[in-house]
Amino acid sequence: MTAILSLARHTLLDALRERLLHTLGVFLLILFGASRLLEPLALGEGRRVTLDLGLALVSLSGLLLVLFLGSRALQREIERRTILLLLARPIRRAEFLAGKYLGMLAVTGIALCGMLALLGLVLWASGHGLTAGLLAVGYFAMLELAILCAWSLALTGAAGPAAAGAALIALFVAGRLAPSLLETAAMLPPAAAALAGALFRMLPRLDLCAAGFEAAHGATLPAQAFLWAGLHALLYCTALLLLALLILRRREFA
Amino acid sequence: MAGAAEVVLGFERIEKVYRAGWRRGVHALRGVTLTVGAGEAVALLGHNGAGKTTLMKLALGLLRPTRGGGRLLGRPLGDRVARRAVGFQPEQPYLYPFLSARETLELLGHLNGLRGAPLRRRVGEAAERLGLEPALDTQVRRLSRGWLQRLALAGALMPDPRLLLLDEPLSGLDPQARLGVKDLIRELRAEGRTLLFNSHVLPDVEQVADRVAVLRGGELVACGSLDDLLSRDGGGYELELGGPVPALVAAWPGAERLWSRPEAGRSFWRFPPLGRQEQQRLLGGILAGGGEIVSFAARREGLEAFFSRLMTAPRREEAA
Amino acid sequence: MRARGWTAPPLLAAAGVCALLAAAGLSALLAAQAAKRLEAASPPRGRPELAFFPSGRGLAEASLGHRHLLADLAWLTAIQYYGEHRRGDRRYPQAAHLFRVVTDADPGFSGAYLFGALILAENGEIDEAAALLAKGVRARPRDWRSWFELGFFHFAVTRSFDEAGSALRIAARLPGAEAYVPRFAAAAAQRAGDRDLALRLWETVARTSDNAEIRRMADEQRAALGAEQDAG
Repeated sequence: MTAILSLARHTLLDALRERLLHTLGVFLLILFGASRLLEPLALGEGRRVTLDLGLALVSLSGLLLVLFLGSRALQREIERRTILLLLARPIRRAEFLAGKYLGMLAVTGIALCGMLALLGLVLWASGHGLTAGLLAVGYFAMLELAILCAWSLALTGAAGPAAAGAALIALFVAGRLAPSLLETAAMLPPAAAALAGALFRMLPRLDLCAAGFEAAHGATLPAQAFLWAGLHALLYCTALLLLALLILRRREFA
Repeated sequence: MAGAAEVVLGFERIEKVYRAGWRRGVHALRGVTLTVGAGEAVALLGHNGAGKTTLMKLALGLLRPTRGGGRLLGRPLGDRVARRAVGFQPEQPYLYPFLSARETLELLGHLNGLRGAPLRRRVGEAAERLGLEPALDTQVRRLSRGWLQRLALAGALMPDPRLLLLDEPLSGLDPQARLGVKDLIRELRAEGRTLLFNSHVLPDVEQVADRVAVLRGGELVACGSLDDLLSRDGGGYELELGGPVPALVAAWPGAERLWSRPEAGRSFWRFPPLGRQEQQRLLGGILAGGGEIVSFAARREGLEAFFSRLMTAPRREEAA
Repeated sequence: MRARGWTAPPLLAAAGVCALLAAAGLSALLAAQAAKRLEAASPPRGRPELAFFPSGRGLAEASLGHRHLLADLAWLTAIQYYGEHRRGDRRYPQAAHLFRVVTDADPGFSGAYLFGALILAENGEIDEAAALLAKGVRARPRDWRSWFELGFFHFAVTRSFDEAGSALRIAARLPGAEAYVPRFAAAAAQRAGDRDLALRLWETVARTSDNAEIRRMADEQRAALGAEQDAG
């Protein structure tokens, strides 16, 4: 456990000191600027527009952060040769992977909390009320980021950073569109429908994770929504990390 | 091969072929058999691409052998438990740039199972040994190459290792720093630790290594102590005398006069291998008898000459 | 140093990325060409403005979970459209489409229903306006405000007093209804055609709305009713 936590801590420190989280400043500037510009044009719907813009920026920033972190998690360790120092130590590759994953979760979690806090601040500074729905947004967004981080580790373990990044974006889009894709699959001829359905069922259900946006707009989500989304994310991430481990165990470092 | 001492690291007919998709594989190692005994400092020599680093990485489990195998501290190569007692310094010691030297050593110590007071103590000891105290709280990205090398060596010492694998520990260092690393290698050997290192700085290797293993094209082409490998025509000594030849010299068992120039009062003699006491008796006897010693030297070529000769000799398949 | 194992060969990965980029670039080029040809084929005057604005349901599907934001963008488009035409010809042929898009993308966008209905009413599309408010009631059946707006519209615009009274009574029974709602519900059935009541309804709508345009419309209507009263 010491090794895992130590690796996670140093992954977090490395990201913090590389000023990754200065992007929060950019986030704040964009959000505040845009809300000031759009509020007069929105005819009384300024709060809505600010909130929705903020949520979209949280979503996009989270994806970009995972893309950036993911390319560094393994590929950069290999390029920097730091992976030799780490794997030469008496740690299991599973511990290495778990440490990197926890570190990525810590960075994305801090960034997410920061962005939601800034969104709340902008809403408050603009004279709009806050909503407890932001907490639900945080919960579901964190589940989504956890899935994306796991995918990122699995993909960068198997392919280069560019291909892994492109694949991650595609998975994000497909995951958010999962219900539509499943409906489309059902319209195909039986054999194709079965195959497409099976493939699409392997996609992460990121639409479940988008439920937080409904809560931000006042929808009351049943407790089961939180539970099922949480379980889905937990099982999905576990499966992905196992896949990532299988890939990492076979890898050699010449 | 190591003698009766415990074998700390051994490779048995180990082969490594790198494959890249459908392309023909690259033979990095071809049937290498090599052992490193406890307390030895063995130097791996060879051109770039000869397989030196590959051998180290096989020991650590960073690579898997295509054929053959070996043992690391009595366990399979790459075994996690065995790695607890191994310190490794890779060729390029890049570390996390935004961590300080102290944080880096703490991380490496954590990964070796250290924590709390023992960890802090070990960090202090490693830093003191490598003279790292002034740089402990500096971020790695701000350290020069020399400091990085020292930090990497300190990292290798964190697990208090029985075996040290050092990949080019002397490269990129100024003369002063190289002296320090050579002294460190001698100290570590004197402490009973085992070292396997590679280096292109052959004069330095000659000063610190007990044995050398020479790789060429993935094959082990020479392996043995420096005395054994570098002695010419069976070794021994050469003596040039000025003035009359003392009777001791002419009567010495195995002594052979190679040439003499009586008009100049010079003669040149060859002796068989002599122990230290025999050398003292011979030289002392010459001086006591009023003889003049112009020169007295071991019949040995330098490591560089030996290495160069080995690298340019036709290979087995070429000779065939 | 290279890492070996289950990695896609770099050349293949690079070729794949280049192929994707090329396909994206080609499709963008083809789309631009198609748009150019369409524009050249149909004269600007005959082509309906915003005709290619996508459907709300399509937007919601393609929004990747951000249907509220896309509804906001459609709302801002609708406001710009209204503003331009109000300064110009005061005709809003695409208003129904735009507000359908907004409310399809986000049926919970409460502010869009009344504003959209008032614009449609101004454009003479009374039935479409009533249908929009009815859609709002179906989307938010437990929201007293949606029933109140429907009731207000039927009383003040369509003069369907029975329907107005019915809607206002439902609004009055829903949780959170303001104190004035039951009073209006009671009065609506009995005082059909009462100008005073209509004035007070417009006043209430104006007072409780954050929408500056709705307040402006309410002022206009109150001024018109006031003028009628003086004339009558």
